Amino acid sequence: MSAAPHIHGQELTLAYDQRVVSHDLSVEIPHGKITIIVGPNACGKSTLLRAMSRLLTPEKGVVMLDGKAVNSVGSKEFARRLGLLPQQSQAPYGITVGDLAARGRYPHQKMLQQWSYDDEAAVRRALSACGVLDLADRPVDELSGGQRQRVWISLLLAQDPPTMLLDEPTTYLDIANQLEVLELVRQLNQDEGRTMVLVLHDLMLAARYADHLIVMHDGAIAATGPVPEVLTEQLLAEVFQIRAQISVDPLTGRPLVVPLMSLRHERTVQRRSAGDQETSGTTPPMPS
Amino acid sequence: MNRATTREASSGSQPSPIVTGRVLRGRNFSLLVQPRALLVIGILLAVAVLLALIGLTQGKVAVPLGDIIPAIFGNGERKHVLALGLRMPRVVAALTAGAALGVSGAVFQSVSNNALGSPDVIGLTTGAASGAITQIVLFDAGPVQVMLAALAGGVGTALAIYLLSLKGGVTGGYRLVLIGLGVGALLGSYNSLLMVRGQVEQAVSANIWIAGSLDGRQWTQVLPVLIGTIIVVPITILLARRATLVEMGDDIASQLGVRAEPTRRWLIFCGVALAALATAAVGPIAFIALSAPQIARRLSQARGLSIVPAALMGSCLLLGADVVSQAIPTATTLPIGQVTGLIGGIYLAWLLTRSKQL
Repeated sequence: MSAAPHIHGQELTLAYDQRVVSHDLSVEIPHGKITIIVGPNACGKSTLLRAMSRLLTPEKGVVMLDGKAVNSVGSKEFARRLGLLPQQSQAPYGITVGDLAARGRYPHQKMLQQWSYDDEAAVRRALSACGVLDLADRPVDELSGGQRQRVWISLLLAQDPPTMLLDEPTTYLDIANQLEVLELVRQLNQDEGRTMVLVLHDLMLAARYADHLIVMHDGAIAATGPVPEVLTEQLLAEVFQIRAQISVDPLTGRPLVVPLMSLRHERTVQRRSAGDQETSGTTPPMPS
Repeated sequence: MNRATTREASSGSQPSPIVTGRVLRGRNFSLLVQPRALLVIGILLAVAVLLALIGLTQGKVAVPLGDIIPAIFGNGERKHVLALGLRMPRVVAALTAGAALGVSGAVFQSVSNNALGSPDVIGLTTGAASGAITQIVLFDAGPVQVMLAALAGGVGTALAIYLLSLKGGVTGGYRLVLIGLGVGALLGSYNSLLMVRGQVEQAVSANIWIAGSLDGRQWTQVLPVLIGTIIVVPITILLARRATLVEMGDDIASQLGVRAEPTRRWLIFCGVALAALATAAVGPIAFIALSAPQIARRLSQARGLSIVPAALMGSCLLLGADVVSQAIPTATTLPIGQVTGLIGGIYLAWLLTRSKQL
């Protein structure tokens, strides 16, 4: 990891066909940190991740990695610098854990160099870091959801890029598995100095694990910076439409988000009770 | 193959790799080979040679097995040399068209990520037949024109299916299969209409063509598919690794450095060329493209796109069906397309009831 991986894009317009998701978006990902992107559904989190991993070419603007436009490097070369774990990938039917992780080595291989000692070592290291080395011979589809997610992360690890982007890596996992994945992310960041960028839904976990937080809303970045500066009750009300209490976690010293009430729900209830009162006046007032 | 036992067996000199298979290393190369796939390839090669020799002995003039090799090089009895001159194109047609269909099926199954995505299911062969029948019925054309029309029909149909299935600049999966089924049904009706409306004589020869046949093949009909297969199959071998990654999804493949849609477009181009060439040479032979890659895959336990076993399996199936249909004592020779159709229909039903992936 010689050069400093540092992703940034200025005044990006991100769109699928004609549908513009983000307009005039500027983003910076600090080097060597865990950056977590949060935001309500359909706010453009995944789209931003896709633009950074050049799966989506911006309509306007350029995403830069290490001061170079992402599209200026060859596709295999880029894959050695930055890896993305997409939200959904299909494990081929019957494939073993070792074989799936081994596919992460593709950007390092050539027609006549299909399995070097480096490949073997990298895959073993990746499987062992993700705690699935013992499962190497097992078919992926026999594994539990948590194990399967760790196998996919091991593919990314075998690919060995200094910068890793993970799109909702904890979705569909139970809380123990979520923590396990996030601990692994932290380990990859702290022990190996990798830049990690995650899209997460869980605000509490985001507050706990992020060094740098990006809050997105309607395709724009609503706030960005260190977690304590970014997370405010007012921001959560504006962006997520929730009433929440933010305190300091006595164990970790980090912000602790306690969601209390959906403001959208609160408004509907208010509207409904107001309407009911107008027509019949029999509904008792809602407790505040 | 039991992985646990192979791992123990290979624990002698070199530790077995974390991936399935063996590694062959040299100074500047390291190849990952699958012993099981190599075994299957070896056996299929032997079977193909055996079937070819049997095929060459079959016919009105019996040529003893021992006289075949000299007769190929023009030595031996004159009637043997003449008989082989007639039979050679037939056997080569079966071998190459079978290989072309097998590879075409493997390619389309990979692109559509579906065991049903083969050129005969998604309407390519029907499209090629439309071209051929149009020539026969409307223009009463000769074999070469029919062949060209079949090629054009297959390629045109493929283009239509590809463009119809594009969504956001991307194709593949169920869309490709379902749109192919629709286009195929449309062209099938067009074919039937032509046969009903056409003159009786032309309709009869169209009917013979549509049954698919290896009878009376001449080198002019066989050479295009032979040359095409020799050129196109190696391209698909070069694309196979990328195709295997694309099967996991466009995003994961792209982030690994494989450009998904261009890979798919090349694969479709190769698959279409092979299917159209084969159909132009021997007519719409059913089910080889559908079943050969699947059987080969089950035998070799390969993951992802594997070309060579599919090609050899296609050759063996088509030549095998021809040898069998010639050996069955019936008044007229059975049309090869119907024989493969019968066998393939049973296979398809089995596939549909057994498959976990559909």
